[in-house]
Amino acid sequence: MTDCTRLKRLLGWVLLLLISAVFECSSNSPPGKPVFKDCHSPDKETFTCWWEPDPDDGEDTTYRLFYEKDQEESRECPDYHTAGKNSCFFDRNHTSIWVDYFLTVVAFNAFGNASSDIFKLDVVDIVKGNPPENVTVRLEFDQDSPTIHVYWNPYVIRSNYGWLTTKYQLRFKEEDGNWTMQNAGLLSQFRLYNASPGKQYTVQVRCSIDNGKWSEWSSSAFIQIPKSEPKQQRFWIPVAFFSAIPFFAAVCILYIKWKFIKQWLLPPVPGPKIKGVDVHLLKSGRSEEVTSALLINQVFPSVTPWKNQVEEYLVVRDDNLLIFDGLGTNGVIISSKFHSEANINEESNVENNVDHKEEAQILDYFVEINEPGFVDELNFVNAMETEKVQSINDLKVVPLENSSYVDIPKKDVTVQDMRPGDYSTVQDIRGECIILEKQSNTSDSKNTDMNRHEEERLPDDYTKVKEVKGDHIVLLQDPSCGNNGQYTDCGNHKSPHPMMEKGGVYADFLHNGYVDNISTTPVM
Amino acid sequence: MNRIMILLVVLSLGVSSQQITDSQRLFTIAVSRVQHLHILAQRYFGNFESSLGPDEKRQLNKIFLQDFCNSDYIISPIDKHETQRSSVLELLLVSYRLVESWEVPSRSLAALSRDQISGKLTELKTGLQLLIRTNQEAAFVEGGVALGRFEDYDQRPDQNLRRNYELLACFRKDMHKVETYLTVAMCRLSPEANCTL
Repeated sequence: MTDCTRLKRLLGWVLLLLISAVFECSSNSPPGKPVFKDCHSPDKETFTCWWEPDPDDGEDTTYRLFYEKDQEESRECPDYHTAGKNSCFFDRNHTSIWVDYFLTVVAFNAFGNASSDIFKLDVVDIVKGNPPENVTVRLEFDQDSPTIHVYWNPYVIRSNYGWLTTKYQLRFKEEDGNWTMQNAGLLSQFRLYNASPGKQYTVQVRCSIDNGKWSEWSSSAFIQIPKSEPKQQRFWIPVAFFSAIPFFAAVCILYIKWKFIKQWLLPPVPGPKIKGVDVHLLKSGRSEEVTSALLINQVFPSVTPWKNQVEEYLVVRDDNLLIFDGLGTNGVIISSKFHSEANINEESNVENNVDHKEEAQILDYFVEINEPGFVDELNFVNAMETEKVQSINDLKVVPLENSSYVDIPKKDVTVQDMRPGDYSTVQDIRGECIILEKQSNTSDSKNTDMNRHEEERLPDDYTKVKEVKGDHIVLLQDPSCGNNGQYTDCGNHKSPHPMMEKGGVYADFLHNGYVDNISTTPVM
Repeated sequence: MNRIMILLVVLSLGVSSQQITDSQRLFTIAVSRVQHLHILAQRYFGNFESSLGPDEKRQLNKIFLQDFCNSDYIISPIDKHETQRSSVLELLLVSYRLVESWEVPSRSLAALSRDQISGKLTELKTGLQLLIRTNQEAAFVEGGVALGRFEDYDQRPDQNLRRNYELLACFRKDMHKVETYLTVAMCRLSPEANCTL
């Protein structure tokens, strides 16, 4: 009997279990709230939505999706099956874009219903493509460098005609490295350059429609890059070796024949040669013979040095006053070619640069005085560097240090300048007379001619000196007066140069005795 | 006589092909500009949405019954079929009106006054004008586009939020519309049969 009882109890338990199981399959309470999982549109023409039912729901629960758009009445989902379970597919006829949809899923069972939250969407915002298909990789060699060529099926929909703009992105990684992202543009292929030899690469592609969400990554494609060929390296070594031999040979030849090559390549530049001058003589220091060749053979009239050496200084005082007091005796050198404006000429020689600076200092010093007459003086100081004063050669203004004098160095008396025949030599000054020397006739014929001419014609610029009066005045002769050997013979009538009346002509008494009446501007 | 005819045909082909390449070039420029504007619009809207709290989101989710976009009065193709059925000129005209409707508001509205949106819209509008001229012989009547009701912005803070949301959503939508229309029009003119660009 106990076996039967046991068996009955067992059966009872089993029945109970079965009944309870049955009861669990069918709901005994209202369903739970479903939740929207995702919606997306692959082509901007249709879209699909998925929802997640409540896990506690019984199997007899049914779900219905309702939507509203554009102030229309509520409608039900047109297709529950195409996209699988718990989904709703909107075909072309039921899809409008740029319009808001409001979706709700309601779960029904025998005991009640439950609605999900409203899900708002606009179809263009949920556009998401499918992952690209058929991703293929191929190895190419671009100038001996391995290149991976990736291509895939383009994302096409039926009769697109510009309706969708698809762009792609790919990612790749070496064996166990990290992924590297790469934008692939609009075309359905891409090349990865300079792949590392000997490595295996993995490539994946995804797409995005109308700059929307990215699709899932496609399936991976693998490729193995072969190791680089040593043959190529082996090729270069003998080439390098064989090209080195002639190179070394060339270097050796060059070394041996250096002098010859130097001669040929850089021939010596012939030095300058002056006729009659022997360079070696010059080097040895026998200057007379050398200079004799240099000098033009002409006898220069001898010069008697001045008895009274004229000191030519510009007296400059410290208290910013230029005083040209003793100018009568001193004689101011005035250039006939004045620059009316101060003009520091930058074209002077380098060797004069130092002088320029010093001159500039002097000029700065002078500039404080705003007298127009002085400017001319300043210009003179300047003009020394830039213009050759007509009757003065090689004069340099050398300011003495620690002194307010500007020293005009005297020329070397021994070297005689060539003077045109228009000038006469002052032989002597006796008291108030200046005796000018007659040109000697001992020179060659050319010179005598010149002398003769010189006597006969005097240029209009020049006036004969008639008389020297005191320290300040030189009386010039009337040009209408005749030419005599003795200039002092001309009549006593005073026909002074008009300039004289204004307080003196500042004539230039050169140390070699020439008088040149240049056009002057009275300074004082 | 025959030769003259051939010459004329060749010349007209040349001229029209020149026009076509000019048109394509202008289209390419216009499309790239509107794509840029669309990306900016997406970014603004995304930033705005992410700055919202859950309550605000729920509140804004309920806005649906009214037409809140200013450009809703502009009749435009609303799906692929209609878009592909419209002519190039119609698409250009609709795009022009849409761009113009945002030109003035983008200057004064805070939500849109960054990144020189207004200037970019003006440039795009100029490009579209050129395209319209090259695609039609008849005179194009510019102007006279009603700006529609553009309310001034409300001072209430919740209204402010809602207004900004609406503005940014509408701007994004309109830019996407223009991008789509121009892309379809450009494809229509290109020699490729099924352009997927």
